[in-house]
Amino acid sequence: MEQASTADQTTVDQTIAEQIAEKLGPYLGVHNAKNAVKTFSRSVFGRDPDTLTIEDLPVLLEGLRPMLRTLVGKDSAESVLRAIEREVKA
Amino acid sequence: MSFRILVAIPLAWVAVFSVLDQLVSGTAGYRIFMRTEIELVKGMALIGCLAAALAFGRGEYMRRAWLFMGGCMLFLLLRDLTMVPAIEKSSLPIAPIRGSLVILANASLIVGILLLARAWKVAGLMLPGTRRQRWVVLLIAIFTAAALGGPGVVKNLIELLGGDLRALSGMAMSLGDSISLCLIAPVLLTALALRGGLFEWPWWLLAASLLSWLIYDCIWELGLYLGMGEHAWRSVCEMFRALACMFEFSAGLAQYHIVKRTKKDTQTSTGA
Repeated sequence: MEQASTADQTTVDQTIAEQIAEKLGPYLGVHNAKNAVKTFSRSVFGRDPDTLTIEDLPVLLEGLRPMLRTLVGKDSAESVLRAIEREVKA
Repeated sequence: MSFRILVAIPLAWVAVFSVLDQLVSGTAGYRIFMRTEIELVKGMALIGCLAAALAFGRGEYMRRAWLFMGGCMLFLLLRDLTMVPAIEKSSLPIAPIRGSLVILANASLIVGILLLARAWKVAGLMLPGTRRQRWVVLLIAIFTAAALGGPGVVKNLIELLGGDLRALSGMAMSLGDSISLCLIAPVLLTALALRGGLFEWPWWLLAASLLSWLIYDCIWELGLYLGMGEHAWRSVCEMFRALACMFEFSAGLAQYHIVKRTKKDTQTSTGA
C-alpha cells in the first residue's frame, strides 16, 4: 500500500511532459523519449515541454503518432497512445 | 522473449558451422555441405524479413522496407535454384536468367536498405551527435564502401563496355554492396538514437548484419592477397556471409516481436 501511494505521488509530482517521456522511455529509450516530447512540444505548441498541460495532451499525442506508426505500425502505435492518454494525470 | 537470444543465434550458428567445416573439409560431401549451408542462411534471412514485414499492416512504411529486404534473398534463392543440375542442363537461357535475378536482388536490397536508412527521418527521430559528426560517420562509410565495392564496379563496367553482358550481374552485385554499405551509417545512427529502448534491437541487429557484409566483402576482395589459403579464405568468407544473413534473420524476428510486444504490453497496462 505504501509503495502504491509513493508511486501515485511521483506521478502527481511529475509534469505532463515528464510523464509522457516516462511512458515512452521503455520503447524509445529515455534520452530519445525526452527529446521527442521536447521536439513535438516546441514544434506543435511553440512552448517548452514543462509548460504543457493536460489539455495539450491530445494534440501532443497526435504529433507523436507518425513516429510511433513508422516504428511499430498503426495498431501498436495506437495502443501506446491510448495507454499514455489513460495513464497521464494532471 | 529475451532479445539477447537473437544476438546469440547467429554467433552459435557460425560456431557450429566452423566445427562442421573442419570436420567435413576435404571429404566428398564438402561441396554439398557448403551449398546447403549457404541456402539455409539465405532462407533464414528471408524468413526474418517476412516475419518483420507481416508484423506491420498493409501499406505501412516498414512493411515495405522489410519486404524489399526479403525480396533480395528471394531473388538470390531463385538464382541459386538455377544451379540445380536438372535446371542447369535444361534448354533454358540460364545466364540471362541468372543475371536478371541478381540485378533484381540487388535492386530490391538497395530499395529496402534505403527505406530502412530513411526511417528515422520519416519517423521524425533526432539522430545523435552534431550535424558535422553525422557527416563524418557517413563519409567514413562512403569511403569504406567505395574502397571495397569500387574496384568491382569499375572492373565489371569495363567488361560491360567491352560487350560482355555477363558483367551486368557482377556490376549489380558490386553496386548493391557499395550502396548498402554506405547506408550502414544511418542505420547505426538510428540504433544509437533509440539506445536504451525496446525499439533499438532491430537496428543494432541490422547494423551487425551490414557490418558482417562489409567484412565479408573485405575478405572476399583481399583475403587471397593477404596470404590466406584457398580453404581458409572460403571458410572465413562463408562465416561472415552466415553472420550477415543470420543477423538479418534476428533483426526481422526482433522487429516482429517488438511490434507484437508493444501492443500486448500497452493493452495489459491499460487493462484493455
